[in-house]
Amino acid sequence: MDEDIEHTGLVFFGKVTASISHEIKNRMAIINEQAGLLEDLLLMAERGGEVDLARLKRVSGAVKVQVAMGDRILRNMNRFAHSIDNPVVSVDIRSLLELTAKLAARLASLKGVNLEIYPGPENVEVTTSPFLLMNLLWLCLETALSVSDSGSELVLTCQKQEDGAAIGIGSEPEGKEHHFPEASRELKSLASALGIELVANEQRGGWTIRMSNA
Amino acid sequence: MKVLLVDDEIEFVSALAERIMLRDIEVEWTAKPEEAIERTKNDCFDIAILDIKMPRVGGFDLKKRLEKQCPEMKFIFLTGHGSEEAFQTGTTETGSEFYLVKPVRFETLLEKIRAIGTTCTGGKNHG
Repeated sequence: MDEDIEHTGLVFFGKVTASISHEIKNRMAIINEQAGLLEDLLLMAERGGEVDLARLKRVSGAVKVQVAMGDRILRNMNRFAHSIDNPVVSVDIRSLLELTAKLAARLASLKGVNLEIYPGPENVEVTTSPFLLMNLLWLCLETALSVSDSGSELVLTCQKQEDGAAIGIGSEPEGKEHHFPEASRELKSLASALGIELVANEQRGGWTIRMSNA
Repeated sequence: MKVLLVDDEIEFVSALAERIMLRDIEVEWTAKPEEAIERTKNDCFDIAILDIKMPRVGGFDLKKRLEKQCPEMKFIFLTGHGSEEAFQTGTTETGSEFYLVKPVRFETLLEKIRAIGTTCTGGKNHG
């Protein structure tokens, strides 16, 4: 693999891992406070205070919610980590797009940007490198987010093409003036390595990513 | 002593506020940094406990904006970030003593609040 692409991939892996570890820390911090609150309430009860069962139920329920959220984060992380297992494989593009969006959700949330996915009705499979494709989508999202205003929306679409797929990344509303920067050198290198056509989308800002099985 | 808690994780900030309140400390909380700015327009707090990474307005920016309204307000920062770079930035901004990494040891946070509380003016420090 090209050294530049390898380096871009490592940076991507590092960013995603850092973001996920932050998310997990947040869940743990919440569970920590909920557990502490349960302790406080039990201590009050031990000292003769009234036991508020509804309050205890609410707190223990909140812990369960956080555990479920943590589990979802870890499942996404596991899928992401295993994306590197097979250099080239038949990839479910809609599922990969959804996973990348989930991984980038925190990045978008910190910018106050809403990520909206329209995966399309049809199953779309393309033989490609899942890790590199996610890296490319991540770079597109990162670039798009860097110029998006708080409160705006980024739209991700996926469409089946005759011999492959087309992924769209752009701003809402369509037609409004959007100023997306030109694709970076890293983005162009990745697109070239994957045999992907990266077309600027004038209507939405952003890009259309065209890939084929050919 | 009046404490303002700001963190975008509602479940975290509400539970932490509840625990502090159980220690007879007056606490208000919000998950929206903008709301914290609004609240301090008419009413100052002695201590603001701020998450560093929040959507739109981060903890350090929020500190600067709150300080303009309440120059005497003291700050404690909370972060989920454990990187060396984040630690350096955080401690430069506030001093390592008032920069706590999540999950927070509650007793440590309480000690910091009480230590600041002994020097505070009772929430009447509007600039």
